[in-house]
Amino acid sequence: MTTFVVKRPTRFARIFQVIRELCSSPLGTFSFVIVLLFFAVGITADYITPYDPIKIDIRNKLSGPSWDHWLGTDQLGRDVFSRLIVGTKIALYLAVTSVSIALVIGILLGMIAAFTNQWIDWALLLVFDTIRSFPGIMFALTIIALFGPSVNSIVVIIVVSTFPSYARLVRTQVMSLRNAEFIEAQRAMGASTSRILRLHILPNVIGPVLIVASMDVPLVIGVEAGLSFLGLGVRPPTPSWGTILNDGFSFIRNTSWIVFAGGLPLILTTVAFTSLGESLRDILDPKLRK
Amino acid sequence: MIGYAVQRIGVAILIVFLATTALFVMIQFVPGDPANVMLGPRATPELKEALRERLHLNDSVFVQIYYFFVGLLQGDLGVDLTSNRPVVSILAEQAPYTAMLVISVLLVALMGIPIGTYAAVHRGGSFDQLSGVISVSIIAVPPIVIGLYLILVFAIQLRWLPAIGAGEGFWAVIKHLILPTLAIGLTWIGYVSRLVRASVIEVLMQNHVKTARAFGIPENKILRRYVLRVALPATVTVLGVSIGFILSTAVIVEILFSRPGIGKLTYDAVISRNYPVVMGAVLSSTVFIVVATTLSDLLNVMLDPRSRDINS
Repeated sequence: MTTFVVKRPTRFARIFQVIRELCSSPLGTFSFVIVLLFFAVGITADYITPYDPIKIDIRNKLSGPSWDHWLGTDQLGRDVFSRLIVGTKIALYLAVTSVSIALVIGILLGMIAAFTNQWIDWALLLVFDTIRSFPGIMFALTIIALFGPSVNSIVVIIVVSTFPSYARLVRTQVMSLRNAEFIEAQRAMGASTSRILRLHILPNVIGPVLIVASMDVPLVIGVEAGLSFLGLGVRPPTPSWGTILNDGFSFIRNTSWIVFAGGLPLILTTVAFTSLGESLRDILDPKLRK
Repeated sequence: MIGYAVQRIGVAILIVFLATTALFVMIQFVPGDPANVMLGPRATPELKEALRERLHLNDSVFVQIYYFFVGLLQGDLGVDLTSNRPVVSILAEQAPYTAMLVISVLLVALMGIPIGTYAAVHRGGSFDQLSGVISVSIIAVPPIVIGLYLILVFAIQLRWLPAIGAGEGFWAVIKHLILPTLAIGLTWIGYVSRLVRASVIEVLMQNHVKTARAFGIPENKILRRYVLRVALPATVTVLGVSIGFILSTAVIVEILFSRPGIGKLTYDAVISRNYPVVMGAVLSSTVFIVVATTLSDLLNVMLDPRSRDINS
């Protein structure tokens, strides 16, 4: 008699398989490479800039692209390329911090809403919907009016405006799992609610939420760029993608180069994260493919 | 249906109440004395005391909220700190500019319907793939970047369209509207086309369409009478629900293009810490969004009663 042993792929093998599938299309490969580059540049930013991003060199102000300054210089003669690299660090910091905090809050509240009594669920839903009904930018402007412009204010704005969508998504997912047979079985065996949530529900819920979160990175980048562009986000002289756009906009009639170059990393990363999210969703959850 | 409508309207009122209260509580967290912050460090103690008295800052938060709601019911949102004019009349002056922008964005977004339908009917073809890539890319890019690139190309390089202000006279107003509308609208054309494509594909696979085909009804007629009629209402209601996002981006685009409107008003009020105006602008746009969302939700339930279970 022959015995067949079905080996479950290891976690690494599964990750490699997903990456292979992802890179099977040109768009998937593009988004994967850009996202990797975003992380790599963001982490190593301080070591790879060709110039000091805040060093002023008035003699060289508003110069176009050259061998010395690949993307030209701004109104104070600072190297735009170096500033964009350091801007990546700020964008990465904001994306990782604010999305992680929002995820933790969203997952916790979503689970509480789905697993406790009707009243708490109802109250939490009302809170989520109230926050979502605030017009995003108005909420941002209010927070800035109250606490002043800073990186932390941007984190607060993003966390508060995104966690309700995660919480709602988790709630719906948990509710559909709550009465599944394998959960009933755990309950029958005497598993506590927290054990069921931690070991059996969370692993099933986390995938779709992470995909939505990856698609929120463009939102984070957009909020930073928007607020810093308005002078309400990252404070000068710290370079961020938004402040670089703002500098470029002030001198757009002298040179259009800064705005053009400053917009490129924003376009590349936002497009890459969105299409990466879409591709991952298609690979991991083919039911959602339309 | 009436029960559901009453429930939705009740929730909408509750949301507006909660949002206002939250705003009030946030203002309490402002570091330092609000009167000091509003009038600046050089104001005399008498002036500060008068302002505190006028804004009921000496009372508890609950009393302040009570006064605010009493005022609100009488159509009074307080007074602008710099010009001393009623906030309501300032809002009424600025609102038409924002409304015009939002409406023109909605109209432009409708261009996504033919694009999405054509892509769905020729699914997998080169148009479908191209429009898919362009839509996904354009949905992702922040409107401020699209706006800046539009200014760069059409106002600075080509000098075809104006980039600043709202214009006076019919043609000038239209010309000034084009770039801001496209800055927001391009994203929405992409979004609507994706949405319409998905729902048209779904309907195309349903039995009633197969039956119509079996009867030999021409493809065009099937599309008009059986497919779009089912696929479009959902899209229109999604647009209704998304009006909040459109308004949000309108605010930032107004500032970029130096257009008058609620966005510019709020921005200027934030910069000068003019809290009554900030409060009035945020509250009025919240009310606008809650009303739009509730109405499109009710419309959706009227058109498709199945969605009631999903929404509730």
